[in-house]
Amino acid sequence: MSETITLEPVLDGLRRWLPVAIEGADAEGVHQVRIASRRLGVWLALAGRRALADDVRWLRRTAGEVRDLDVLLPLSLPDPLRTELRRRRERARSALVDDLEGPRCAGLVRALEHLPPMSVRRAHAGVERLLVRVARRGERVDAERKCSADQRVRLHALRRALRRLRYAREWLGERDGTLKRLQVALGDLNDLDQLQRRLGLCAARDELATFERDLARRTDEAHALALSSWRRARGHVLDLAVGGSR
Amino acid sequence: MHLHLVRHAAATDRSVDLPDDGRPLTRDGRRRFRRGVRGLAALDVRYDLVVHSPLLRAVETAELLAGLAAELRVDERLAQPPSRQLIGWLGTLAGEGHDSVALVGHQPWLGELGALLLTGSSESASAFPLKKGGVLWLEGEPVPGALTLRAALTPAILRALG
Repeated sequence: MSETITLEPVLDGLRRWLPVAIEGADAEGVHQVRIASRRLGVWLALAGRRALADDVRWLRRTAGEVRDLDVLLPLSLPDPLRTELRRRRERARSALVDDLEGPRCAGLVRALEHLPPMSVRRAHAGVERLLVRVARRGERVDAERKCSADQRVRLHALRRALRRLRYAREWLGERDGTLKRLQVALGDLNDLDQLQRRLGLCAARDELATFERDLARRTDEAHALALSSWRRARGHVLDLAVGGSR
Repeated sequence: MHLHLVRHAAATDRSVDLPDDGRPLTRDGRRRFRRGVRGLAALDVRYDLVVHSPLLRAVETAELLAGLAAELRVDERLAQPPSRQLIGWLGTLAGEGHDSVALVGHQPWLGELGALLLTGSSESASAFPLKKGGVLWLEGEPVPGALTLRAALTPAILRALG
């Protein structure tokens, strides 16, 4: 096995998907740009690089604004909400295209091309820190009252830490189906929470009362499922945290 | 706005084996610039924003400034001759409340930018020499000819302060 890890595979993907995201016909373009920016962010963190981290975060956020709406719009939605989300998506897309065609994005891709690779040893040390962080965030989930709003906040924090851990391990060539399944369950909860937040942006709230009640019920169910997924995966995460990724 | 034009620290020489974009800082260049950054800290310099060229030597120089910066940002325009768009963007940054900004880049372009901002013309760029790891400190509204020169901080001065 090589002693170093280059970011070239993900950077290559970013270069391929940027024009697709700019062109806009295929939503996968924006999706892949966001995924690439997350993976690059994890690589930079593992490599201990401060420069370019803010730029990668910026890329993730600008793509994320559009991607979140791309995920929500295909759902069964009442018309006032769909109209509002479409309007927001148009605005977000326009901002995204400006950003992707601008000098910051061009500079980011060019700078990433020449970063030296990081050592495998350094990456393993980073994964071990992330494992401890996931375990701690899981403890905070368990410490909250079951299905409370506070627990939901803790589940979102667990989801974010878990995603970083998964990407970090993938940089080392390690795949983990258990963590992936847990992340999917947590992601489903996040999607419904996102929709609830956007409901708050909609003016025609009276028309949305039935939808809002149904959405709250579905979110509670997703919360329970996410919690149950975490409890099934907890032993696996704690074993990893104790044993490390090697 | 306080605008610092920072030339990247000393980097490896050009070679056929290494593209110019990918030339890293030398060990000595890093060590010297770290001392220079302590000199900036001793002057109470803190940046709202450090913008840097994408070339590796500028990326690594910006990283060494990170402890003094709220945010780092890469920009392709700092690897090119100064443009109206770049100067216009500096005006936008000032309007957004970025009061203290560093631009990390390369000669001759930083010198040209400095001359343009100080005198309205880039023709006198050679009058503003900028050594590797040095800083030109400008102040004022980022419009051609409207800034004043607060200080020309050579690397030796910054190291002495640090």
